[in-house]
Amino acid sequence: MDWPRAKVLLLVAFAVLDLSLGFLWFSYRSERLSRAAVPLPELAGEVKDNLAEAGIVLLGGVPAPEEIPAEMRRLRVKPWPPDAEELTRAFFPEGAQSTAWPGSDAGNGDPAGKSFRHGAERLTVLARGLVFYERGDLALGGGVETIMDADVARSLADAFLKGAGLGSSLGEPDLVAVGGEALPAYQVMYFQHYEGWPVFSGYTVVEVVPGGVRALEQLWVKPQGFVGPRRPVIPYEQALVNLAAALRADGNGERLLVEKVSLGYFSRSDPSAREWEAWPVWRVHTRGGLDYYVNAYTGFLDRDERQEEATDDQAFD
Amino acid sequence: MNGERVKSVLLVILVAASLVLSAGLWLGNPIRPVVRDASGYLAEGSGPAPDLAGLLAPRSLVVHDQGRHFLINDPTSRAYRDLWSAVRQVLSLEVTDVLQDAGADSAELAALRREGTGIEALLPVELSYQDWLSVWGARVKGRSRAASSPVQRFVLFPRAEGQVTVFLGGSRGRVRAVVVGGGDQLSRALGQADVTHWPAREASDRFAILRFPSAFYVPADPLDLRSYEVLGENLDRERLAATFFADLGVIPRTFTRQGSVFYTDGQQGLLVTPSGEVDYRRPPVASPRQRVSILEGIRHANDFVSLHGGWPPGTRLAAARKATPQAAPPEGRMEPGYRFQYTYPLGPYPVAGGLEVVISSDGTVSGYSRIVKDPGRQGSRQALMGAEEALAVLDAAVPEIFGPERRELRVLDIYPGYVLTRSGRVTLRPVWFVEVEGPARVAVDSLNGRVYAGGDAGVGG
Repeated sequence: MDWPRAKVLLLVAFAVLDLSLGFLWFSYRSERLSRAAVPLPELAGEVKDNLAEAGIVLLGGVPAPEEIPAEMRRLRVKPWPPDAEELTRAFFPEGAQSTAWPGSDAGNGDPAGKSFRHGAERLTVLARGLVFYERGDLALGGGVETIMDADVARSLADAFLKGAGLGSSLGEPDLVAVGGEALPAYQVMYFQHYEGWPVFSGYTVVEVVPGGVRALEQLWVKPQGFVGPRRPVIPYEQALVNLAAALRADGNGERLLVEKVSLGYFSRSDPSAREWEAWPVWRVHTRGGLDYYVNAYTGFLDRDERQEEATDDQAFD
Repeated sequence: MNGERVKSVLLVILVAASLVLSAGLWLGNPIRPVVRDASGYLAEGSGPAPDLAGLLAPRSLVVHDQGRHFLINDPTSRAYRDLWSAVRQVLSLEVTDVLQDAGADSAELAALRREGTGIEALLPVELSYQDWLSVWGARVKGRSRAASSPVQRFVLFPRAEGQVTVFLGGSRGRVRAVVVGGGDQLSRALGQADVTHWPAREASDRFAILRFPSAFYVPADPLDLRSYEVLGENLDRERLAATFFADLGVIPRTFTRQGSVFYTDGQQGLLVTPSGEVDYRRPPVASPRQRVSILEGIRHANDFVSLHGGWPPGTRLAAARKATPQAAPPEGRMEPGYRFQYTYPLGPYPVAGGLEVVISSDGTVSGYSRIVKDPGRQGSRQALMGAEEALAVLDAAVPEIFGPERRELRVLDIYPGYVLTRSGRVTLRPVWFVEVEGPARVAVDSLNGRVYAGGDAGVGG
């Protein structure tokens, strides 16, 4: 066999092959970067103009370009039912009266749970992981007439969670004013975090009134790790435009006042499931407390069942 | 030599580079184009679509021979194949005459059934005469006035001079008749077919509520059907899911405590159980001005099943019902689509409740359920009730099923088969299927007399 000649032929063949593969590889990489393109700071003004045309007003709080990955994976989570006894000891160190019920076996029947009372306070822990706390002597609109602002509300909420041993994996909260001018109250909403990413399916909402924490609702999930292949995520501007279009299709043509846009994970909790997966979403937090979740893979809108009713003149303009 | 060594080193480098670049493209490229698996997925044991003629073949043939009757419900038997082939050939011949509208089950037809020699083909759906011929690759030739006649039953009797009277029976009992050639051909086929294994008699009309607009026939001998426990279909869940979603990588899964997996992209949802049951739903598409014909709908459904699991051997279309959309589109009223219910055989008998496709008015699939089971452990032999006994059970149950004000219920046909039932384990229960006006189908358990109706075990309209 004429090896020298064969080598030349092979060299040519592999050189052509490598050029083709290299061209493909770089073209995919370029497409990946262009698909995940985010505006440079100097283009922020242009972005705002474009969004305004779509009826979206950015009041602040968009992620910096370096914080946004080009691709993300799905996140697998499990239910995380709390230890009711441990919670009770944290909330009521002096002890509490308890009541338990077995729940219904019907598909959508009441879940099993336990309830604990201590004076005017009540803590309810449901088998599927929901925790409710309420303090009956601090009704909204009642209690001490203490001047309270968002910072004070945040401090009260943080202190309450710390005291109950609940604050360690929660990030920066969102605050929504729910009371009136004369008797302010705030809902302080925290989300779980996993490896730096907010997991919007796991939350703690604390209602703070003058005098202290009036109520708390919590549902946590247990992240199991990232799964599946990496897939590109859409830019937040596209998510906002899709959101505006979806709302218009629902008959809401008002301007959308966006206070904050953040990237994280979202899923609907499923008490009947053993595990489920959360997907990357753009969370759009609007003035007045309405939250929208736009699937960061597909751009479709998910709605969060627990979102608050917006006041007429707050989320929309 | 130095030159050769350089070439060798360069070759090694280029080969290594090609391996690295290939690995980078296959394993690391995040936006490698991902498309829905256009070739589809065939479950183990299932195959590509049967031809339309096979899918729409009659569930039974009735042969009349001068007062004796034979009911052939085994489509794998030679008698069935030969006779059905002969019937199709005759039906494809030129129409030489169109007789008067015979009204509801004419006296002439009744007399022929009692005394003549002929054959009836009971079909799973009602299509026009022309559509039936198009299914067989033919068209109405000659006098075409009867081309649009609705047909769910062909009744053929050879007559003098080598002709055949063909009665075109619709689901509402009205009958039209045409005359074609091929009388000698049909007579020969009838004479040669060995049908003695399937003696039948006409069901007697003695019920309080049930009425029979057209004669029909039941097996004269007891049937041997047993119940079975079932084995699930062995599905590759991810490969099946890949046929529904453009990019499975972006689809979150939910894993239930029972071991099922649910996939959804927020628009469509797919549930696959550990025993291989499949349930798929998507919102129906609104097309107020467009509605596909039933035959076009059947073709759309066929294409869909072919890509999403495939066809168990011997599958046939059992029924086509109107499917009213659950939710109206924002723009208003929506045309109803179709619900196609299929059966696959267990021996000669059909199993119902295993395969169903719902399509919107524009032909897109909005629902698909697939429960394909292989028979496992057989139940012991038990005495089965006869067809007339099953009709008596149904007669007594009509007020409960159809409402206490129902005074009359027209029965179109009765035939044996199986339904899938869930009572702890999934079993195949032997039943008598009864086709009634609506159209709708109920089933009477041949062992315990329980009546299945509506969505219960996949029967009903």
